[in-house]
Amino acid sequence: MNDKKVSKWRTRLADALELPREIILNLPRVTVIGTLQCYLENHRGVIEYTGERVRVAIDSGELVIDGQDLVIRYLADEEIAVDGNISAIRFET
Amino acid sequence: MFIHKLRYYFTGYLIIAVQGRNTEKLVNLAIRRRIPIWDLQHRTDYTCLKIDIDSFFEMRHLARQTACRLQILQKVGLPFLYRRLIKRRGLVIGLCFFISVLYFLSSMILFIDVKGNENLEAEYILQLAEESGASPWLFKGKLNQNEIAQQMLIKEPKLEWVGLHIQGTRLLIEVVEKIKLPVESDTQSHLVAAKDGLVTDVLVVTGEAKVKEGDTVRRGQLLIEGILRPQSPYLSEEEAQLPPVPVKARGEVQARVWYEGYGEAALTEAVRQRTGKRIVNWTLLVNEQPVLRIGRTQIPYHVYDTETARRGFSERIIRFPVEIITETYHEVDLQEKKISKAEALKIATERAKVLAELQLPDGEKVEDVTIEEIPLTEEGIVAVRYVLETSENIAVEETVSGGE
Repeated sequence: MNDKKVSKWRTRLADALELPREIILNLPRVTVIGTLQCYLENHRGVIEYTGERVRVAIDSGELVIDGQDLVIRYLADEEIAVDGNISAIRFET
Repeated sequence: MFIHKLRYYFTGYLIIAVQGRNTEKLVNLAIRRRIPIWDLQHRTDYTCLKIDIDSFFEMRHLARQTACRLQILQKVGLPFLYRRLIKRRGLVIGLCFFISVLYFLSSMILFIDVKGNENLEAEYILQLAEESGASPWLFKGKLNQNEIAQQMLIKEPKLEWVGLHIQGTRLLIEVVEKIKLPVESDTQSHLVAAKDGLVTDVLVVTGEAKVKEGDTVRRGQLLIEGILRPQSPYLSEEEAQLPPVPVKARGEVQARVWYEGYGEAALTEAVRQRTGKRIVNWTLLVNEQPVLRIGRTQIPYHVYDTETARRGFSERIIRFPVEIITETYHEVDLQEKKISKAEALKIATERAKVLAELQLPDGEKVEDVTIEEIPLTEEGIVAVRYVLETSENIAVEETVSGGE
């Protein structure tokens, strides 16, 4: 309950100050280039990695990238870039 | 990204295989410790990844914690390359030797070519060049091209010009030989008239004058004959009977020459004046084929002028095969305007003058001008004859074909 309140308050603040929401709300920012690349900022670690599926932990659950020949091109503290033949990107809570 | 990879190429990196169930855990731990990992690739029973050399020991430590097995597949980067090259010292030395020999040889002149010689032997010119200081196995920098060319010119008077060019390892000697001018032929020739005219002055250098002052001559007429006859009054009878000697006729014949021009002008003149009304048609061309036409097909004017303009797109980057043709039809009012006789004469004179001046050779001075109206039977037209008079030398050497 309390958590929800804080989140609502933060949303308002972000709107009022016109700040990027992903910073205020601590949300992932996903950039997708066609089906070739998925670039994710603000992640919490890799849960599963195979050539067909990459699961990445984010603040509110996980992000699942399905596809073929998936390669983690770049991996850093906050960012991850997945290359390959992406067929689906799904949020799971 | 590219900069990253380049940096790791210089510092060296490893491609390692990770085996074990907790591969993801290992990767997450590595990220927490800020170990740079990139290009993770999943294979059937292991995961391939690239890692910085310095972080490898830390990674091995983490792998032990997460019960993963690490295996180095490949070592990439300059430090490893360097080590390999040290092992293969002979190859490196050979490569350096090869490059330096190539450089050394390419800074010398290895071949000399001669171009442009017609009568002189190429070998002779090569020998001449060697004597002047241009020979194979000479460094390019030491070659003083101008001086060698100068030397060669001095040594061989048959050469008119020598040029040296270096093309890679080839020295090209271009020569131009002196050409002997053909000796003027001493065979007999006559001077004939180049134009019709009235002779005003005859000056004979060699030969015998066939015309005198005041004669009218026609084009092609013999003026000075190329012949010498014994003419002195002091000669004896026998000597006067000697056969004439054929010579090359020389001299000048000044004559008055006329150039005539004829011009007409009508007393009425058609004046075209645009009324201001116009119709514009547009045609769109694609690949030179008319595609679209906007405007009227029938022009409602009795008399009209047409203006056509083509416009394409700018060809700055690529050429579009599209053009627009704009046709503008201006209505024209035709009116007959009467002009005075004096004015008509002026116009006719102007036209005649242009025609006369066209015939005038360059550099001849006009000495006299005659303007004369020609009476015509036709009504409404005046005609003018415009005559330019010059005084020029009309004598030309007769060629084999005769005349000019």
